[in-house]
Amino acid sequence: MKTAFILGIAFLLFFSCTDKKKEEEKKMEQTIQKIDSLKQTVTKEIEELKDFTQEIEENLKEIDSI
Amino acid sequence: MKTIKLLFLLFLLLNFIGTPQIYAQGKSKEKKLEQVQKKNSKEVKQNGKEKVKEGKEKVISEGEKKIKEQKTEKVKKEIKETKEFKGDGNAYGRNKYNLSGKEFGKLRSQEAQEKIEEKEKRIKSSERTLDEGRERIRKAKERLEKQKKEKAITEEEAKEKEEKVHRAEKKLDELDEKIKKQKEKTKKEKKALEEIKVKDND
Repeated sequence: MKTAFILGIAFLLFFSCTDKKKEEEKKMEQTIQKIDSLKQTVTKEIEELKDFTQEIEENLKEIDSI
Repeated sequence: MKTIKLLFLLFLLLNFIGTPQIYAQGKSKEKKLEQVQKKNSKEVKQNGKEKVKEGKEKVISEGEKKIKEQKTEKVKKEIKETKEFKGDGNAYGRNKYNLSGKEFGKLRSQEAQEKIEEKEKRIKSSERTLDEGRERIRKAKERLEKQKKEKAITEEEAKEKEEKVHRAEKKLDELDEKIKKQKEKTKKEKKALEEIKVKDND
């Protein structure tokens, strides 16, 4: 009976440890996902601004010929 | 003593059973990525072989030989690029270059930080374009006025040119708005990244 009790506790301890580890990994993955989406948004915004600025530079070239 | 032995054995057993499961989860994801990479490289290799075959048939003169060389070089480049393929989307199943999750996260946040810095530089460069643009428009207006006074251009031409200037002015105003918006967004993005970083440290 005593051995069974100890075995039970050991099992619980082990599973709680692995669960915690998995949870930490999941959290980390979520954090990385958030960082990735932020990075993607920033990259998109940089491209948009770059394109628009280039468009304006083209317009200004036309103005210079006046 | 018997109980301690039993416990020790149990822990050893669980360690042997438990760790490969966790490891296998990551490995299956890596395998998927490798399969995709292999598939891509195979496709490129096949395309390359076909191109090289076509080239062989055509090779008669030296000029054609040169073309063939160029083609094979291009294919080699393509293969190299596909080998360096890192995968799209999130970090799930990605090869983390033997880094721990936390280290990988830090690397990612550093990359995001660099992107934000790049955006700030882009904003500054756009601001310079805006200032220069305003100056160029001012000068163009002066030139136009002079031409009008001297009657060097017809009324139609003047109208056309005025329209061009007006359009450019409008675009510059739009750029000004965009820069302002992006500045505010950058502030928010910086804050968001800091918050994610804090959570990462917890």
